[in-house]
Amino acid sequence: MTKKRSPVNWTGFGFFLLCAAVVEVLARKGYLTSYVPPPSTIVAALWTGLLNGEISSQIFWTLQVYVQGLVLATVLAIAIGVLMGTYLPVFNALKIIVEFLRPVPSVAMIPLAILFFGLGAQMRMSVVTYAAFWPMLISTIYGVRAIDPLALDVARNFGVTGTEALWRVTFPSALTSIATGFRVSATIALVVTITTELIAGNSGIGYYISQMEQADRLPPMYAAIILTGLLGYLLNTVYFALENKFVFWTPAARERAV
Amino acid sequence: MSSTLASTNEIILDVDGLQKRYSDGTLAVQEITLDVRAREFVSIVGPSGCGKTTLLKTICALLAPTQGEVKLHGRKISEPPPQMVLVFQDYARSLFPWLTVMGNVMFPLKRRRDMSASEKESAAQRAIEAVGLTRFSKHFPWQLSGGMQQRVAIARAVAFRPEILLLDEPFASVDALTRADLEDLTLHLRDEFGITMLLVTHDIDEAVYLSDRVFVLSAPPSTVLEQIRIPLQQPRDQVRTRSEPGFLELRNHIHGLIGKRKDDAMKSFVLPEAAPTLTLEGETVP
Amino acid sequence: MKRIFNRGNASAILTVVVLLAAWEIVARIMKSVYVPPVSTIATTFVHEWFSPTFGQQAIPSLYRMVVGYFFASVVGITIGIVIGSSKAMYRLLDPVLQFLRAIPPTAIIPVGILLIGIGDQMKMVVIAFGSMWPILINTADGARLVPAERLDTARNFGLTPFETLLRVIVPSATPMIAAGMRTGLSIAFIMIVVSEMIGSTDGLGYYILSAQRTFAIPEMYGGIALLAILGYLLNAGFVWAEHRVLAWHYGQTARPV
Repeated sequence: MTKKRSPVNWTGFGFFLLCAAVVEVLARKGYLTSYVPPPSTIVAALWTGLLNGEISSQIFWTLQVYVQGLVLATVLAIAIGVLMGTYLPVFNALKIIVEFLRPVPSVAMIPLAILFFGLGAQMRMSVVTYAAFWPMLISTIYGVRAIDPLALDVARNFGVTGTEALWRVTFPSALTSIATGFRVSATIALVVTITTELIAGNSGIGYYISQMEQADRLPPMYAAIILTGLLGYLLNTVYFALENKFVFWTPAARERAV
Repeated sequence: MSSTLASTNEIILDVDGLQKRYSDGTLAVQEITLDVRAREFVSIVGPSGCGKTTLLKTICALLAPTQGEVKLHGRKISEPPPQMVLVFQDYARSLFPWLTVMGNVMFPLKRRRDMSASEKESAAQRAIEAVGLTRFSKHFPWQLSGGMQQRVAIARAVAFRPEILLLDEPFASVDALTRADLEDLTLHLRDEFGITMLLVTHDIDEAVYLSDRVFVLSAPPSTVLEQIRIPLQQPRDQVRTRSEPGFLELRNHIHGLIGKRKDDAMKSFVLPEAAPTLTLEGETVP
Repeated sequence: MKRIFNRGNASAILTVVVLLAAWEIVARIMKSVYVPPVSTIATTFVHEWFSPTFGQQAIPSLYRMVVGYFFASVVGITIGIVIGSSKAMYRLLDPVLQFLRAIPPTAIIPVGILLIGIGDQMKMVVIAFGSMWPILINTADGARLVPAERLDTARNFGLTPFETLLRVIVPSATPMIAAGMRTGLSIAFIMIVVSEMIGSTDGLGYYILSAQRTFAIPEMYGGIALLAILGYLLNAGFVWAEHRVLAWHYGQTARPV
């Protein structure tokens, strides 16, 4: 009864491979619709697509929109969030706008963005910024407001006030919350990037997916879809690592370090 | 009143050579042998970390022993028997927050087919009265104070009509005044309902105050150091009993036992990756 | 609360009024097709949505979303309870589930179109697939994190595993299930809009995209505004219902024990 659990989940991975094998056999025997190709062809398409640049070039376009949109959203969210969290008048003035714009799904802004920016990377970037902005704004405000007033009193004691206090005390203290918000925003940013490429793109992985669907080239299409999942997973791992390095004092990061 | 006869009552719970190893291999309980008689109040005292919670859980068969056995009325038990109910230290985590006090207390009765709905309700009502919470039966546990929540847990156990109540450091998380009330409550329940009590605690004074017999455990991996009979006057009283000369003698004796063992254990304390048994300096393992 | 008209809210309302007024004035001066005055948008809004258009465009969207979300909840909660209460099942299914959930649900839409075609079923399936994951994962977490004391208490009182599941594990998990369902609802909302933009001939998503293409700009803004209102109402409605069903949970977390 005292079985030592190995850290690697062999049972789970085994089951995963079993499912893939079953799908493979069923697909090759023709029991599945022709729209579900054998997994081996998908993996092969992914491999070749990455090597010969067909898929890897699209990754570049996607990441470009993703990074630009996310960075802009982060800067805006932190700036406005710190102001709203610190100064009550600012918070009061903006809160209704936040409450009403927040539940609007970012995808609903796509037609608006097309109107102003046409089709292209800039349009997609604006939608990504809009989508990634809100979670970070909320968690920044939350992080700033949850600051222990003692920290600010100590700072004041040492003559640190005003903008300097904002930068040296408020911002670092709120970093935990901001970091969590960032991860949420980053996930959303990737999904929205791909989605806008699907709906109205001219480059990127999402665009590639819809092109492959129209050209009836199914293995590359599935390969690209799986790639988006892989990409999201990789980025998340990177963010966790960065968080552990730069925001190492938070309980969550300390727990992960154990 | 009934406990002066307790020493001559039949043994209903027999723990023989019990050993329990954690899933990672460390020995929690090395060898415990004890017995409990009907309507007795028995306490188990020991230093922190000596596996007292694990011991209780093994006794009521929530955990399976690595060695040894537990016999209830002479028959070995392997599944939690209905005659024993365990009251946990952390009442907040053991009570159900989506049920009222009445809901919680009725919980163990819900599945019984031999009682009608009104019988169940009155049984629960009686248990709630017995712990003094009649006014709060429609409240939710989290609306009550810590001591009151522990009373709810006790009422829930009592409503199940067990023969033996196992109490795992039940009063550790409440303040001193509440603790005194709850201690007297358990004595009252034993006297009124004839429930046998097996209490685990790190509080030596509490053990001496409440019990007919005390088993003193060693530091981990634990064994029984000594079995002590508490011949203090019944019925117990917080003020009178605690100022009896016998009280001081007994508690100091137990203090000495545990303190010495703790020192010895600390001298030769080895981290768990090493040998599973500790050898105390100059002594053979009991 | 009668404090609605306090100073804080006054400045909030004032800001909104000022911004709307500025929009109106700037729009009338600029006469740009891209930015119609607020008044035009408002009249178009009333004209469009208090008419059969609502039934033609909004109702189908809501219908598809509700059906998809319903299936997502049923499947998500069931599977979640299973993997949450059995460590063996959790270890077995974890990689497969992690793999499936990592894929952005919108990327599944082309697959859906290929397999099911363009139509109500495709949208419902895609919505269900997308909104199922937060529900499933939160349910599994809720089932896994039942305090050991509660499970031990259930065993002590002789409850069968099924009774324990029904009377202890599920009630314990409901706060987390509700959190998962709330996230799932916003995902369902997003999925309906996206799926109607890609493969549809009606629905709100289709409406605003085609309004942009046909340069029916006030209609486009009006559609976006309607989506905003619906999103807000759905979320507020969910929170209201949640606070009623989980009154015990909110009462508990409000008071530190």
